[in-house]
Amino acid sequence: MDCKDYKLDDIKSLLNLCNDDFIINFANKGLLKRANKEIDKGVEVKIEVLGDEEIEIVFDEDTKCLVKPQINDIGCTCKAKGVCKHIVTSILILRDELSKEVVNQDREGSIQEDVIHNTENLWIKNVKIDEIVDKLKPNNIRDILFRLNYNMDYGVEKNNYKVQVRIYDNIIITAPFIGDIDNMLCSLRCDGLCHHKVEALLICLINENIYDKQDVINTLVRKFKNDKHIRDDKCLVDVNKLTRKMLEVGLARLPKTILNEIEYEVHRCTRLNYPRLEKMLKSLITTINRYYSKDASFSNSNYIRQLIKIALVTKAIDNAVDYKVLTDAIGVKKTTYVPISDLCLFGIGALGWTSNSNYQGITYYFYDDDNASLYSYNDVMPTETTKSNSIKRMYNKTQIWSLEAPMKDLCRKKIKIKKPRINEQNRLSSSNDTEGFILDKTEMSKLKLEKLLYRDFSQLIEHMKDSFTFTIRKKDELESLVIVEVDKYDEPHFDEINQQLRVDMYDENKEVLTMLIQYNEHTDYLIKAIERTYKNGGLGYRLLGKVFKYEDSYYISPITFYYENDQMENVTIELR
Amino acid sequence: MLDKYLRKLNDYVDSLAIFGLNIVKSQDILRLDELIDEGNKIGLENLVKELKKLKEILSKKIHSTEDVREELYDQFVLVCSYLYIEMSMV
Repeated sequence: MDCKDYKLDDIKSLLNLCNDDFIINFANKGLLKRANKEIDKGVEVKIEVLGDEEIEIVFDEDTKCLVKPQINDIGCTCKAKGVCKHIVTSILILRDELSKEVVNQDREGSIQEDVIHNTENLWIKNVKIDEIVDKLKPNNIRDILFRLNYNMDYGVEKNNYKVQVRIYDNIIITAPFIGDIDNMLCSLRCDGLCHHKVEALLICLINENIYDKQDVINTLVRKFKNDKHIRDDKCLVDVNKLTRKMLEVGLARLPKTILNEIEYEVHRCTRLNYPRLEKMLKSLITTINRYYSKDASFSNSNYIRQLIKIALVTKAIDNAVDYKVLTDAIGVKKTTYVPISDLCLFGIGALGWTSNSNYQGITYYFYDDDNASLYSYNDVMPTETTKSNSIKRMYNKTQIWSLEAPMKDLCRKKIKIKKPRINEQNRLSSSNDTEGFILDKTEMSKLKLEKLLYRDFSQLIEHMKDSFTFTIRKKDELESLVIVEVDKYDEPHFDEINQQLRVDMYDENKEVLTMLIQYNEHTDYLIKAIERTYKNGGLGYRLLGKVFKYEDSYYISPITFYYENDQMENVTIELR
Repeated sequence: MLDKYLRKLNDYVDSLAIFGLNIVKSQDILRLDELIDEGNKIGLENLVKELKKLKEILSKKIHSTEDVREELYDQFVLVCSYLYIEMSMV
């Protein structure tokens, strides 16, 4: 390669960047293989340096490649569209030439000067954050904000030619220093400026101290709130009109066709990505159907509360200024999990459940005693494909995080989790990257259980009052989870009129809290089991349960009983 | 007492919504008057203020006009929200 009269610094930078991975990223494996075969066969080419930033590789009269410093500018005269075999072959040939040159220079004793770019003038530093953020859809912005707020550990590696950012799910973005934003490569081979590239760029901007992290977050929030797709006026107006119509006409006079009208709005909300409104409207359909079928579980108050909440959520989406209120009103369809640092957790119990929407599963609860944080893990299955005993089977067989122990054991052990992933509700994912190690048995009596354990029931009720205030905010599922220390249990009493089991529990100060289990096909076994366990020697000294409000009073539904010898019993599973 | 009052008000808003805001009878306004008086005695200032506004709109005889209907709907949602917040805090 005769390049004595020309400086080819930028092209050399590109060639330095072009290792096999990089080539596969912008071309593909097949092309790289074919290009290597051509070279092995001894393809003959003519290399002509045309200028500081242009090298022509001539294959034959009709096929010539023009190599330039920016990968996207490299062109070929052959008929193939996009990146062809000749482009890849040209790069490989030039790369070999470059390495020979380096060897020769080394032999001659000259010092090889690496092409080090002045990082002060990198194109990355001139990127306008507002312009790149414009490429993001609202959902992408929410995900990026979530990851930024959780201080996700982005792997950023930098050398003289490029910066590489590992964002999540091992997606790697490569930004060569030469050229511009168009030269970035995404390991998912996305065309143009994809949201992965934008996220990586934002990380680079923060890393290089060009923008403060908070500025980036503010810009993203501003963009999210102003996005025209976020507030689809027509849909919100129509949902509002629908609730107005229902209140104006009154349920007693509403024709059955109202169900079709609500159904139509459900589809619109699905399409426009308002998951919370979609869910609320679906639930309203169920309630109205109960009214038409004269179902005893229908209640006027519940119906009106649902309508009022829909009206408020619609208004919140339309007017909310606060990002949290707005995103909460919109809701999420698919939860996002982010990798966080390693965790040391104590399994504290498990709840078996069956939902009205044909799903059943087990929620496992884990507690981080040092940081006083609760985590959950959900194992869910559709009821149609499972048998009645599937909850126990899931409990005995399911294994996660590369552990050999089934969940039955895991939910009562102290475990270390490497590379865990969690979502906004502190729910752990079963990601393949996550690794678990069992350390010990959970010894409940030795845990501090801050913010979780209540010895004084009046204090518990006082605390729970805040959690049960009427709000349009969606409640965190772990918010109502508590452990209570019980001094004495009264004998279980089944209320025949209201079809519910009541067990009064007393704390040391004789304050009372009632365990309440409403009778239905799914709780039949539990009611019998609680009565039986009481007779056979008593219920545990501590109880993990969910606090709920029923007719203006607070009750607890049981999940796990703890006994003095650090044994635990997951009542909704093990007593089935 | 507060609990009893809120339940009474809840029944009132339930009946309005079940039979429709469009058909408001004079008895409904009389019942609302009673609720306003009772609310005043308990000292629920904010709720009473909104109930008074609701009564004002309900008393308008031009319910068929779009803007009054919209005003009524908005006020009803507001009253219910206040009521539910009060109820959840009792």
